[in-house]
Amino acid sequence: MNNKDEQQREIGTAPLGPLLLKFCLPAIIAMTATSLYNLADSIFIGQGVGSLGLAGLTVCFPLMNLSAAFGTMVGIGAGSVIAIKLGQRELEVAEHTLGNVVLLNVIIGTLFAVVALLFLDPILRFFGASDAILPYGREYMTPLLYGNVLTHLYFGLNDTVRSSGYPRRAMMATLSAVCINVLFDYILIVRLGFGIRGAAVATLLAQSVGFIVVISHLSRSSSVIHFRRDIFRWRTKIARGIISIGCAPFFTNVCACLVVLLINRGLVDYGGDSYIAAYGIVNRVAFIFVMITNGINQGMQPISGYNYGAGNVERCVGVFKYAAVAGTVVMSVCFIVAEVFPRQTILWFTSDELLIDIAEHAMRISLLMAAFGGFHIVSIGFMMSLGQAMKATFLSLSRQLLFLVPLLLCLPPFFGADGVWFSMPIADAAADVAAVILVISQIRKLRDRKNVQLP
Amino acid sequence: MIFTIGRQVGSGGRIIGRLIAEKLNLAFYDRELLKRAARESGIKDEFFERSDERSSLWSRFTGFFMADHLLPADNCLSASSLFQFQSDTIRRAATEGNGAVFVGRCADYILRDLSPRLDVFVTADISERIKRTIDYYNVTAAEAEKKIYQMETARAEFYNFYTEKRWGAAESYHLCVDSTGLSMEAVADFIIDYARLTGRL
Repeated sequence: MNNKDEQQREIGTAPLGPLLLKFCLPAIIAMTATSLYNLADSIFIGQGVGSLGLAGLTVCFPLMNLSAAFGTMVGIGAGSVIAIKLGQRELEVAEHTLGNVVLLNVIIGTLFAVVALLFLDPILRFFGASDAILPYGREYMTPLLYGNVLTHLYFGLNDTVRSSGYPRRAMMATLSAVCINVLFDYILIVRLGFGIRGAAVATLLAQSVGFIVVISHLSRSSSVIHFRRDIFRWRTKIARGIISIGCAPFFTNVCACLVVLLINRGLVDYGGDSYIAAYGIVNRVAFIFVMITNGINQGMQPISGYNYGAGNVERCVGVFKYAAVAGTVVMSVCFIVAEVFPRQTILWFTSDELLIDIAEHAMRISLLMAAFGGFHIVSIGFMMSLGQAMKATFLSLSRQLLFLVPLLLCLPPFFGADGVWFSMPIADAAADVAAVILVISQIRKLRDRKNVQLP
Repeated sequence: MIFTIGRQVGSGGRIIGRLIAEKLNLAFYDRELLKRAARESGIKDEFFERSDERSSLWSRFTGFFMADHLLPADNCLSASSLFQFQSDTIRRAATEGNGAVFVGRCADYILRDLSPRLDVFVTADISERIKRTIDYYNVTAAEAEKKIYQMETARAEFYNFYTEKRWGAAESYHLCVDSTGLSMEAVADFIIDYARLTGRL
């Protein structure tokens, strides 16, 4: 309680720049770790297996998105429920929630894996795999699906560890998983020549280690919530609470899955296998910068939210400005990398001349508007922190559903693969215009209403 | 001594609560709680009013978009954070002076470890509740009926989401009273008598 008061005083009065930095750093570290996790697989597969391997990995993205969608639904939902229950000193209910997380993860993880394994070939074909790519996709995805329950359990329980008051422990699990993944990618692919399957096994090994860190924390009776024999009983009320909160992140992830699916299909129809591999590279590079910006975004939200709530509009808008500038700087670096050093960047992933040329072309076009993306991402967080869920949802979905999907459906038939690449900067620009308009009108409204009470 | 009063819309529960507080010289908390929670948390009361006794699917949806509990610091404007502030205020208010009467806001659940305490739920015939709602909100009979339905759905959802009990179910309370045909005064006296009879007072 005292700690919380202290924190609130700090949010309400400390200088904004250092305050933002303090709140952002942990989030940025967590986000960077997550993107490194994916990046490592791409780099080692690109170097060790080749462009078909990269393409195989890329056609698996939507399926992995979908699996993650189910995983985060349970994880984030349970995290919120546990925090609410701990706030009410309902230790018993919080622990039962933990038990139900395990049950839900096992049920959903198993069902997902069984269905995906049974229909793996048609699913991958639907996601854009050609005859040449399919074996690579299958080889990568099959071990991952066998370990799907483990993946879900690791992510789900990690969220519960974080929300039950141990964010550092959760971070440790994530970081150790990242290190193990990189290490075993190197050993299995480069040293032992296991190919793309090695990447999948390395991922599973990494998640097992993260899982062990999490499980050992949750097995300790000194942890605030921990495993007990009788908590693994199904409780419909708890499950309903978890899913009702988790359905929002689920929906966002499904949208991401849909977009990647359309991109892959456009590329396979109008380009070919190398185009899919090229998209895999561009996607991974952009992802790092987007995740860092997301970290800034997450660090900003408690500050802008509290100051808005306390009626301190200038501080609320002020921290948004800092975050928007920081986000734009990060995304400008992304832009410079894509436009000035595309070859050097792509060489990390591949040495295949054909692929390098395609990927360079793709990167130059599709990240043309990247610099403006920072403002868009931070605007979403700003709207969230003001409780403007409608506008936040609109902004986050507008880039994907409103602009990107129609463009991806319309442009490729006329412009081929270039149509796919050009869809992205056009959607970025349109979404950014929408963000600027919404944010400016929102800030104006905040300032107008500053001294006027709501009806 | 703590009284907590749950009530159907238009059953007169709030008035009964105020009478009990006056008769026993206890503090009375209804919407005042929101103002006090606002003062104690530093967050403007409009945010508390906006989420008062409401918990829709949509607000939980919003709760996620505010990325609650997954950040280095919580977003204090999310529904669950506001509920937490309000709970802290209720707990603090309950331990001051010689007791208090709380109306709604899950006080029966939040104060479940405190005794002596009497949890009451007040009901009334629908016709009487409609009549009272017409007077209170200055609306037509049809509007009143709709209002009752909407407010009770929201209250029940709020209560059922945050507590481990069911709103309006007999086992969630010590005493359920039907106020139909009685004066508010009489019901208040009856509840106080019950508290005396059971040795709480």
